[in-house]
Amino acid sequence: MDFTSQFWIYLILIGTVLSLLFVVVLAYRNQHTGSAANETTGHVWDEDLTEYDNPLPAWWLYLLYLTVIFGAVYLVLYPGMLPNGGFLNWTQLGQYEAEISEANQAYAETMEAYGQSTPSELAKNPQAMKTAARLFSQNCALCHGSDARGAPGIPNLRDDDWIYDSSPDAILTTILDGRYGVMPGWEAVLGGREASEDVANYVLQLSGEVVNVDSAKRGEAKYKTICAACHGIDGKGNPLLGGMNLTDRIWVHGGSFEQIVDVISNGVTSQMPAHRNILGKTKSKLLAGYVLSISD
Amino acid sequence: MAADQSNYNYKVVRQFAIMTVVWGIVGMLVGVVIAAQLVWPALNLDIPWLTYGRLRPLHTNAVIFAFGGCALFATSYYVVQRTCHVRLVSDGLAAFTFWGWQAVIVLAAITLPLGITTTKEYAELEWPIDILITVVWVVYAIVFFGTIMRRKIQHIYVANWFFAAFILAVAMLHVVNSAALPASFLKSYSAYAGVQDAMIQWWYGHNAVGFFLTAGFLGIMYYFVPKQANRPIYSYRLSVVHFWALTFTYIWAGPHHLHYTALPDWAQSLGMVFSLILLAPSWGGMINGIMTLSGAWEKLRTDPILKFLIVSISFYGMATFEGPMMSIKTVNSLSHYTDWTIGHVHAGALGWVALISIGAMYYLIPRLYGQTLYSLKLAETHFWVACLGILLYATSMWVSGITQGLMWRAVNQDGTLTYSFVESVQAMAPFYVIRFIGGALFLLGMLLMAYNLWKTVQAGSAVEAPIPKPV
Repeated sequence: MDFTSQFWIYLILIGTVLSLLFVVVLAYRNQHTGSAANETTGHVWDEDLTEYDNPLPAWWLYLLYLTVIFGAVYLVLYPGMLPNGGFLNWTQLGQYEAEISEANQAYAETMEAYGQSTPSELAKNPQAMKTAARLFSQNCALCHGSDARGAPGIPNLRDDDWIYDSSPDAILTTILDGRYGVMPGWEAVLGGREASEDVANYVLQLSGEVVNVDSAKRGEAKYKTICAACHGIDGKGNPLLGGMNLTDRIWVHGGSFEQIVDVISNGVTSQMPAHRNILGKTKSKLLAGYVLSISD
Repeated sequence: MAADQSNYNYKVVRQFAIMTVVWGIVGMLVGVVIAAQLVWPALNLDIPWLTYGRLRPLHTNAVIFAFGGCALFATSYYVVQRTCHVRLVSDGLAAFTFWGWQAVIVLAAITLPLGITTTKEYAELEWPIDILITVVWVVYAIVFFGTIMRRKIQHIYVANWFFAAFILAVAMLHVVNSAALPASFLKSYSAYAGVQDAMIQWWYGHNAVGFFLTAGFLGIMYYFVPKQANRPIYSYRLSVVHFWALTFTYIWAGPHHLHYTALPDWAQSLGMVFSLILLAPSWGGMINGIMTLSGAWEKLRTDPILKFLIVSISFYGMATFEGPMMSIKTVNSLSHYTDWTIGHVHAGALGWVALISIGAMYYLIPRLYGQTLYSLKLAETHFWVACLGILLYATSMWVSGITQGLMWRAVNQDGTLTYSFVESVQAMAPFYVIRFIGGALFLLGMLLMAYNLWKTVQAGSAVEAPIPKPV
């Protein structure tokens, strides 16, 4: 059900005005009545329940009138009773835009200087890195952790393993435009769960783990026809595609045999959101510099 | 069913009164548990049913609709009979409302921990339970208004106006807000989308406060305060004006829950303005309650029941001042989404709703069992323990809420936010401990009351109260 037609606006407008009028008229009509004398209204309930009829306290009555007058004035000055907003032309969007432009002006000088530097230069500027650390705790720590050491499925930013290249530009691109990593599920193509286990053994062998050699041997053949396209014939990955390095013992999605089998069988997708529209270029640069400064 | 028309129906009042105490303890216990979980998260024991997200709606539903609801049923049935000088119109229908309402509460206690929820705050119960609520509520209205129609006293007592407004408004709010399209037996989708759903939800949510937790409990106040003080109501005229002003302004105040959101500006303005105008109508009730005691102030020194009633009215006055202030956009931009809101709600829920219900139960249960209260001293202890609990609760949440609000908006010289969110969470820890202690004290008070009333009931026996002959 929708309430977008003008009908509802007018219904509520009329309801509002009538409610206010009703309250004021009711209060006004009772303004000078009642008796201060200790006489009850004459009604008796439940043997001894009675009522005095004291007049409305003046301060209370004026409080009521005052709030109604304030309300009527407010609803004319601010969006309320008039069809095209209030006399002050205030809108919450306008307030937001004014505050943002005020802030942008206030911080323009510092930010402009940062904007003209490269991430590598910023990484060496202690003042800039203070700002960047705060930006990181506000915008990045939620997934990558306060210490930037990542979480299951989320890369550690403090090691020197880079899924998409280690150049400052690649890191900046990741922050600005995001990344969308897709590892398809291969169980059906490989020919069942056991085939996935064979490949997992081979992958573990690439990392130098001790595995079932026969199984790894079977896995190697499959790896070289299917997996090598993205992860490389030597298993060292392909930064252009985001194919991960399988030889460095760093496992973003978990390094146990079961976890690797699961990723091979069912695939995994992961997303780094784009921050171009959220942070803009200068702040993204600061963050790229920060990530460079904390990685080994 | 030929009921004895020379007596009041006290049976259903007794049933609801006892369940008020039982559900009060249950609901507040769940509240203390989730307050503890906020300090020591491991207390959810890694069991899904015991996680904060599932117990929190159980807490709110239990205290509002089980504890508060039973208190309203008990007192409204008692008051409407005694001020109309007539037995409830139907014992069978009254009994149906008791068992129906208990069924709703038990179903809520089962479905909410299982994660079966509409996700609408204070309206989480799924559609089959919503239908049961509607049926029980319609029967409640029939019993209440049927009894009014049979009254032997021409004038309808003011408490009954408030109970009537509460019953009618809650029926309308519940039906409109719960409108949904069932997808399966235990899952439905709201009939409204996006910000419209939010607006309907807070129109409901705020008026649940306005008509369930305010109008209904003002009904309790208008009977039990003059009875316990043995004084006439201060002003009939004031009760007329503030009753109509309250009902006509509360209904528009909901949008203040949606300041600075996708809700159109004009609707936000409306919510703020009507919340401010609500101040005087709300205080009309406070004046009438407190001034009823003028000339009998000395009774406050010796009578713990009167202490509960009068302090509850003071908290009502405080909360209804704080509410309009918080609805002002500039204040709201600081207070919204912080613990300040939690503090505000509990000043109202513990200070007003719970204290006046407790006072009413201390008044009611001894009379229903023909026995004076087992221990006035214990009730006095309960009063001070409860007050201390509220004080700790409300002040800790004020400080914590304002701290949160200020930390969230603090900005550095370079334009970055001074604190990360997790730092503001860390800063809350000491206040969450104080809040937990406050809540635990309030619960302790409830246990003292349960013991005190249990001893009273044990010593007494069910009373058959005769209806006075027409004068």
